[in-house]
Amino acid sequence: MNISRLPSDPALFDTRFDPAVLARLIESEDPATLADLYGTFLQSCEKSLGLLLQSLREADVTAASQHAHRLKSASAQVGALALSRMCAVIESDAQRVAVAVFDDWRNRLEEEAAAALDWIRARVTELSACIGSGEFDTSLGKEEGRHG
Amino acid sequence: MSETKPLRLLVIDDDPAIAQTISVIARSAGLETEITCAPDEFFRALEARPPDFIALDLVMPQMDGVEVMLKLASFGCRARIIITSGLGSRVMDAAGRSATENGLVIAGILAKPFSAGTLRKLLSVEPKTAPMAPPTVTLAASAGALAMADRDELREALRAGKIVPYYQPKIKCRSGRLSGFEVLARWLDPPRGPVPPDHFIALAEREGLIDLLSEVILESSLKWFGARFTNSDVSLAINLSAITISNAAAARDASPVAGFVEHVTRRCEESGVEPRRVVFELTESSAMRDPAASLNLLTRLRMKGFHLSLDDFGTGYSSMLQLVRLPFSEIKVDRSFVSTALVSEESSAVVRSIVDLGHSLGLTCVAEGVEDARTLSYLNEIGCDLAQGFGIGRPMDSDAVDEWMQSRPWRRGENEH
Repeated sequence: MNISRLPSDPALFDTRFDPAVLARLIESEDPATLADLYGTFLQSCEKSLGLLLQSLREADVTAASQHAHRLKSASAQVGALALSRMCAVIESDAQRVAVAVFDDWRNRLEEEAAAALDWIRARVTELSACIGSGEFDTSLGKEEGRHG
Repeated sequence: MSETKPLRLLVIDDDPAIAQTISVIARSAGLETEITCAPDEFFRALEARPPDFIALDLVMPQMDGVEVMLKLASFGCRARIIITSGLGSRVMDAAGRSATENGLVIAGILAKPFSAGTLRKLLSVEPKTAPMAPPTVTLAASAGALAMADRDELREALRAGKIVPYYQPKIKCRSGRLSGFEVLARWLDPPRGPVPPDHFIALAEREGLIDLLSEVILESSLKWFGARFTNSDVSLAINLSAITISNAAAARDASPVAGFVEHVTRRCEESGVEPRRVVFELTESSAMRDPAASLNLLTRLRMKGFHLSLDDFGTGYSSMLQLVRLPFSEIKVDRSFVSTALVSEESSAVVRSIVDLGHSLGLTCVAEGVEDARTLSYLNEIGCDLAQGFGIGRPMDSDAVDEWMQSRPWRRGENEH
């Protein structure tokens, strides 16, 4: 495994975020629906990311592969494409690389996940403004409080 | 005013974001949905309100999707299952096949990342041709109610006319027109509860009653067929037991082979059925019990004008050998491939290859286990000649055949009389 396959590789990092992915997936641009789905991702991502980082820290390769698999799918569907690609590499290569690589993976993963979460929070803010209600502001505020 | 109850989708995915996305798409397609993220929660919801569809994630930490499906199979779950996962297609296909073999109904595979269109397609239902339980499901679901039978009960049933022929239709894939019927034995009112055909046919073979059973079915079905389908090209397919072939071939001195061939020819004459309209179906293992004798018997049957069909093709170990060695005129693609052809790339490739192989040898190709219109359409696309399955018509008695002839949706006019 060449560690350069993680996000610094241009091929993996081609499109970092794609705001059209989720709307295309559900075939709807309804801001309330989109904001709701992004909000759910923000919550579940925190848990998945925590588990993935922990398994890398503990060099539990099986768990790392499983948690990466989960985060890979979820991040792909919200358009956090670089994060998804990074997870795909971890899922496929965790059992094959030297454990020493895990520290580097963790650092890069934390960086990318933070960027992805910031980007999604910004999307939720935009969408919430569109629907002009405070319904999503509450959850947004909560998420920002956790991550911000 | 009556209201149509919306179809219900139950989602289980350990990632709430993905579960919710599936739910949003399904709701936009008019379904009612419920999301669960853990197996215990899922099974509670399943029990409280049985769904029409289940979207099931294969990879979950507490209980993986295959375990969930095994548990669903043990309940006799009838919901159509959509397997979702980001695993490779071969793994997902294998999981689908495993579920089908355990009696579950698989609507399809949804590879992540998926599209709304793909999901909606899997959630579409065609009420008139909705998949029905494959035979294994029926048996598994009602296993507790199945009874055994003994030799005397079977002999009495044969004497009393309780073993009767049922008829399952075969249609032409291209035109939808009726092509023929396969005759399947059924036991009416067995004394100790339902006895599936596989059980009582095996019992008849063990207890030396198979020739009598075959004769009862042959005589009765030919009589019905000759009267019902005069001046017609519709065919009648009759299963030949391995034991019948062996018995016909065993005592060569007395020329039982000739005896059997002449016997069925005479029965056809009595019923006014031309031999060319009768297809004898046999499995590879039947033909292999006594290869030399079966070659002799089957060749003579062909010479008399009967057709021969190699049943369950693709599941044995010597299919190619039998196909080349014996004078078959037809092959039947096994239901295990056909019923999964739309959800498994491998099954689809096998079905297509068998059809191509059959045609290259000049054989008619029949697909068994066709459960819905989409599969029928696929079979037509790949050039398969005939189709048979619960989605076209279940095995039925002679009265029900008439009703089926009037009502079936793919009828486009024919001159069976």
